[in-house]
Amino acid sequence: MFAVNALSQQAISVTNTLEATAQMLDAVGVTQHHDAITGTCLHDISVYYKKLVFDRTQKLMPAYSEVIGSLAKDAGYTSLAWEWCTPYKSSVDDCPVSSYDLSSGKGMIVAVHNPSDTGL
Amino acid sequence: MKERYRSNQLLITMGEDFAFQHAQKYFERSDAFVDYFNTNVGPSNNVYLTYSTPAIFIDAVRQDNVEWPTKYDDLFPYGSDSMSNWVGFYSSRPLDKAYYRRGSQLLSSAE
Repeated sequence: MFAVNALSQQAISVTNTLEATAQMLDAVGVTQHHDAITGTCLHDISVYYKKLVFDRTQKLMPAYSEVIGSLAKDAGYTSLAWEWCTPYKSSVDDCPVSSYDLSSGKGMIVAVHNPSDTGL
Repeated sequence: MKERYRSNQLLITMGEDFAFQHAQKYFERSDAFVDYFNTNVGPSNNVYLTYSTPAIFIDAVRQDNVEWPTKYDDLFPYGSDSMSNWVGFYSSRPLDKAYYRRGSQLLSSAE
């Protein structure tokens, strides 16, 4: 029963990730409109486009984190919680180790994801 | 118009911004115009109208066996006339552009 439950949980997780990815694809597709990415649409429409991307990002991030966690777990690493840190300035100052609680022998797992939009 | 085309296939694009707000009437009139033209004007001039697609147009042009030159110029930025260059949008709402770019990156990673 436990194995079946675990498998069904995994199936749900995969389904959620696929669904979130499909919805994100839809949102990113909308932003390709010639008045969206160009920034030439009316203000209200611009707000709508950004909200669409925001909402779909909020749905995708947890699902994506779960996938990373699952991959890390398969590799033998477990983590209670994953936290996103985005290096906006592309420097080591963006996500300083000192900002995380590493007391009492706590460890840290760093998963690096390639933000390249070429799919590579 | 024929001077601008190397083959016998003349591409006439339909519509523009806001042109399809009354789509029903638009297409009823287009249909009527095409029917009238093909019945009353076409036969005596050997010119016919047909609704088409880019693929159909290109296939028809290929059959005309035209020798095509190679273009090396850059199509961008778009200059709609001698005094108008569409360059503003390359930098309009830069934060929106950055945001959509990040969304695209996340999507690529997730895929």
